[in-house]
Amino acid sequence: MANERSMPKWRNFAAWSAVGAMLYILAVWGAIALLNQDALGAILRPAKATAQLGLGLILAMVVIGFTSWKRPLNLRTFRNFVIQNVVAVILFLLALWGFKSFGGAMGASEMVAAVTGLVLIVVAFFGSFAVASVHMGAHLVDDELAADDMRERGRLILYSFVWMAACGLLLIGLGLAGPGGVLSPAAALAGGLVLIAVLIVLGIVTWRLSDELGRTLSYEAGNMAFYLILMLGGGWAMLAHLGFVRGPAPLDWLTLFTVLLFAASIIAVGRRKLLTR
Amino acid sequence: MENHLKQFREVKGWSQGELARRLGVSRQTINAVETDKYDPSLPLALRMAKLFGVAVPDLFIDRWEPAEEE
Repeated sequence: MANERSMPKWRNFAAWSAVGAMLYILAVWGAIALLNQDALGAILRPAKATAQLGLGLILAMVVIGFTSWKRPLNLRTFRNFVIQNVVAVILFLLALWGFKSFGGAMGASEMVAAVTGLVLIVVAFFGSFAVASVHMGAHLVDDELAADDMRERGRLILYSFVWMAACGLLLIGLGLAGPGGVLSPAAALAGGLVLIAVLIVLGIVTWRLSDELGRTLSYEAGNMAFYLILMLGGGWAMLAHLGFVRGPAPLDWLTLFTVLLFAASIIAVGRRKLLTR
Repeated sequence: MENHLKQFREVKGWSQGELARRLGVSRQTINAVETDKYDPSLPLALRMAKLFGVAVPDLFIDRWEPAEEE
């Protein structure tokens, strides 16, 4: 019995891993092509880059395999996967190209902040798109229970994604306002203040729309984020103080806060096994 | 915490969504309680018990026993 139950899941895992591998290869190829480099040479010549890309390929296969192994690979699920992921990758690559071409002289901190913000915006865009598709009756969400949740709590989920996008926009704005950036500090400050006001209002609205499970998860994510920041940010500051690494720039702290807040949210939900049905 | 919420709900013929609506919480919360992923607050547990006309210990199973006094 156990074999009968686990076999299709492993087949799903293998099939989705293969899909993930193809997507990853296309994404890497696209990224290198956008940077105007010899794609094959860039992948094969420096051994370190080849190893990193190989590890990335394995990671992409494992992540997509594990996150999709409960749904069979068929025309509908494949179409939904392609729509969501290929468009996401294309948007991400185009924005990355935009930063490179028009973002001015961006340093490492500015680039990391902008790319982090971009990831948040792309995720928020697709989350909002999924909610909108459910409300419009388009069958782009495979999981029926997830679709039901989106129908029932659409406003809350949508506001959460807007909150996420506002965080991303804030990081991008700050990233573009660094030394040599295209945004003036005054303009970035004005935009930042508006976004912070939006974040506060949305935070209050989503809190009011949440029920007790949502609020409990929010408390747990806050606690978790504090300890993650203390551990990782504190560890980084300690090593920098002792001269082992470069000290975190102010923008690094903001990026770290944002990334760890979202990481803590995922951990809080995952600890209660709410990421799986 | 183990509970009999699903059994009581099914006896009433309610879906998770229907029970969630009656209790003023999300369907996700009901699903999380039924699958032992979340223990509800005391007010919500009391409301659940009131809705099904039972006592809280009939709905939620606590196997803890006080230590015997010497």
